[in-house]
Amino acid sequence: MIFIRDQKKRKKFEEEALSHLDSLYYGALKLAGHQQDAEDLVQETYSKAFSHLNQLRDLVKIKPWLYQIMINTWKNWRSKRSKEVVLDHTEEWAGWLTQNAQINPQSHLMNPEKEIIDRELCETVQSALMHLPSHYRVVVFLSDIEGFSYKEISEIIGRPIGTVMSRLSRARSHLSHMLKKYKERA
Amino acid sequence: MVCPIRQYLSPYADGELDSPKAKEVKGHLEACVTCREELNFMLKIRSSLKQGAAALRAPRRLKVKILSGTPKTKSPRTTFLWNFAYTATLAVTVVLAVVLISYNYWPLGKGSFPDLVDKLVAYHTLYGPGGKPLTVESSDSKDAELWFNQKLGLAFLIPNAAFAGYKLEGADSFEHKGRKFAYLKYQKEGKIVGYIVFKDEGFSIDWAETVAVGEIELQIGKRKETNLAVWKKGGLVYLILTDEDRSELLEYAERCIQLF
Repeated sequence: MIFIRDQKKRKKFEEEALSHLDSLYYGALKLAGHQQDAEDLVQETYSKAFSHLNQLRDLVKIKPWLYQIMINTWKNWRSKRSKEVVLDHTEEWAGWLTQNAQINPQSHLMNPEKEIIDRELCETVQSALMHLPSHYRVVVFLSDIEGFSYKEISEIIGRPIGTVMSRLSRARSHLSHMLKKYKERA
Repeated sequence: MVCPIRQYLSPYADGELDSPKAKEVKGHLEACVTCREELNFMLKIRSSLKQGAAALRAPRRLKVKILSGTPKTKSPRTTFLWNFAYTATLAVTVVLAVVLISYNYWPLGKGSFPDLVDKLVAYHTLYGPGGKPLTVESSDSKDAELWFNQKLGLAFLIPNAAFAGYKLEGADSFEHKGRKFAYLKYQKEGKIVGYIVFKDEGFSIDWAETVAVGEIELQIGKRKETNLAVWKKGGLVYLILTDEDRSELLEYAERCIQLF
């Protein structure tokens, strides 16, 4: 009966864990920047999670737990590979946007259709996110996309709440600066 | 000159400021166009990020790879023996359970309400600013009422909360230990109010503060930073969860009850 209970528990855990696959994959893409690396990262995350099922006391906390595993795994990868995926070229990015607008005059027009602007913003903000330093990217997607509290983010990334707060403020300031063309239109 | 409030916009948008500071920021935003525009743009970027994330799906092959890589536990023979033992034990357990329930020894309907409230506060937190998406994203309470009726078999009036400046963002439901819960999310300038409704199974609620609102007994409580108000009517339990002050919560709850 203990084994059957373990089996049922494991099955429930697997179902619950896999329900977050899309979110984790998105997060892995933002961390790793490359589809194959993202898939490997997610696969290794789940492998570790399934091997350490007994460490999770409350299924309600499974999502932050999975993210904690994934981010720690990615940090280990980075230290072994000694490679930062993304460039911190905030000013260059803002300049690129301006240049792009000049090359493609249509996108530079004050398009009164809010939907078109929003769609353009949506596509551009995803790219802008990748131009943030990795430690800013992480807190932005944990907060803005996954909706974790500062306390949860602090536990996931292993940094004090004050650090989470300041990184988020700076990350958003960078994003706002990079996307200022859209701010004027918004 | 940069507004001194500017540094608080980010935690304000996340609902992470304490109440006095949040009130200060809120008051400043009513007067400062620059900060208001900055906050709105911040929220717009967040919305765009979520939109992009929601559109993405993991490749199917990834799920297959993950499942094929999960470690197995026991051999087929051991599985058979354990299954047999489990089935026999289950049969005995079911019989005992029927006996115990019929003698009211194991009161299923009554459980630890404080433990349940802790879980509900945790669920409410998941729906925080920029949090778990709602299944029904609509500001029309009729959409939510219809959905709850169809999905959960729950029929209750939903306050539109415009009286308090709150906007209904939508509705969702979740299950916990076999019980189904209806969840409504209201938002105003980064502040969230959760409204949870579920069937009363004879819960014993005995909080420190009780306020009579007409015929209804409203009880006020708190869990960490979340203020709570609860009442029962028509076989249902209504629970409001918010980071607003106690006095605002009380007024809000009284107005909700008066809608009935």
